[in-house]
Amino acid sequence: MIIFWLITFVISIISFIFYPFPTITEIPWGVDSFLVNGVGYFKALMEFFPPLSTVFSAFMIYIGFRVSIIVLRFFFGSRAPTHD
Amino acid sequence: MKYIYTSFFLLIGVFGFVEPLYAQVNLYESYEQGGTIDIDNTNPNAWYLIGSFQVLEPLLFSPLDDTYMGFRMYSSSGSCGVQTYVASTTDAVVLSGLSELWSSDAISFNTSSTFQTVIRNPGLSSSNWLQPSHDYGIYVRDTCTNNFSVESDSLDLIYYGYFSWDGDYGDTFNEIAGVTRIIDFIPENATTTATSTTFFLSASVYVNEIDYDDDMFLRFRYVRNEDLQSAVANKDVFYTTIDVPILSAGFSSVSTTTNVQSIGKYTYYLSIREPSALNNFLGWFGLGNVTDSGVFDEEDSYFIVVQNTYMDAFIEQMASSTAAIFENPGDLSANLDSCSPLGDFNIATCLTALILPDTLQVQALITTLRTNIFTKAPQGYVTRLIDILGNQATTSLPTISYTFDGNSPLTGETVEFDFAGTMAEASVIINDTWVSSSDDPQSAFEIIMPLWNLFVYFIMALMIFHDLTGIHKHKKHKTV
Repeated sequence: MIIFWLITFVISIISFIFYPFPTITEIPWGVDSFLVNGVGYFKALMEFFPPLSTVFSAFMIYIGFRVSIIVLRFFFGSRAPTHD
Repeated sequence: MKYIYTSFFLLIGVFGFVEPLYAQVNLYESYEQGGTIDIDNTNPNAWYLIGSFQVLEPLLFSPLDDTYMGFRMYSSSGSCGVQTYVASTTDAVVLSGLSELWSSDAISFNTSSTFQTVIRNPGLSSSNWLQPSHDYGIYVRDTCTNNFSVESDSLDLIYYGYFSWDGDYGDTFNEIAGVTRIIDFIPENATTTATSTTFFLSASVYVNEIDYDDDMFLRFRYVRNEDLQSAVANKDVFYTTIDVPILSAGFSSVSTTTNVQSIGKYTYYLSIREPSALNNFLGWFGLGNVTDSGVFDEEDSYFIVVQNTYMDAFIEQMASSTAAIFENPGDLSANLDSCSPLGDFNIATCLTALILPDTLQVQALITTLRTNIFTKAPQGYVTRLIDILGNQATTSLPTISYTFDGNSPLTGETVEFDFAGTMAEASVIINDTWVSSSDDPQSAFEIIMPLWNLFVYFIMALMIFHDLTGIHKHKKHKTV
């Protein structure tokens, strides 16, 4: 309960900062529909050819890892447990 | 000539404002439990109409002695009170949820009550059974008399309304047409909302088959009250009117968005309409829609539009989070009992409940984090990208075709390549044809996939390990 409230407090302050920023519902310049269609095609192929889904899952995990590295570097700078 | 015009407009006015003869009761048409009109075995002359209904408007009354509920039949000529039967509470009306109708306590007819009705018409001849496209009354009264007239006997009449029977003899009760009406709407009456360019208006409506017309529409109309205080000739210019078509009879929801940027108190009108020649005619003379012609139901309310500030958002966020602690405790409340010295005291469970967030609370945090931060620019673009990648929806693979033209010997011929079809056929071959002949037959995919998964995830793990440790072959730096 205590940690929940503390995290909520921090999130509220960050929300306060981002309040005036616009909410992004789609990527502009037609990129959104391009990506939606492209990924949709790929997932349609995955239904026919299951090995592709493994590649895609592994790709997503790796991207998640890279993003978490970026976040760690953002917060911890050179102290982040990552290799430059 | 001017007298002719005056008489004409007076005539229109009289017809436009004429009040209906009887007050209309809004009946729900939830007759799903309804049965059929059936012959009473014990009395062949008795006819029962079995079904259930709900009243839309709350009704509260205190019966003095006996209170009766019954249906009343109109004669085909339209005169009232010719053939009536006042249902006895003992054998003809059963009120679900009420032990007896003549209770000395106040009886509340509310929107959540469902009434089972059994209507008996022992005195009616076959020609007076429920007739298609006739109106039938429903009433609650505190005296029991036969052959009563609504007009002359209205003092003891507590509740009266009618529905239109659109069925045939033997039809089920659920074929009774309900009253065309607005059921509920957004923003609700006296609601305070924030300004928005995508201000949401909606209403759920019911339109019965008889009233329905292809041109029928729901009219949203609102105006900021303070704008009307301006001294202008035509105040219609301040009204925003949005007509949204009603596409089918029955229940439907109609919604739209609009732009409400100015703060203030707004009066809000909703109406179910169909095009009215009379109103069009009057509108042509600049008189506007002054009659009820073409209007099936109308509601009016108000809402208040305010401008949310940063602090409003902050306070709202904190208030909702604090409320979430108590409203979504999950296992928390059970665990917090362990903090009570009078309950099952357990210091470990108590501390855990006090410090660690509950599963539901974590979910609430993630939702808040996503809504308030991750979807905002600029990180919202990354979130959107992840959403697209994570979306399970597929897009149909296109069929490629080419038509030869020019001087080709195949001029006019079209070659088509159905990629999806080809892949589907290949998939069938791999899954169904290439099957091992072992006792437990497996397809080619089922055999290869574990090895393939191992290979792919091993490569992925290797790349992560490589990134974390930096173990890779360095290129030699060029020395000058």
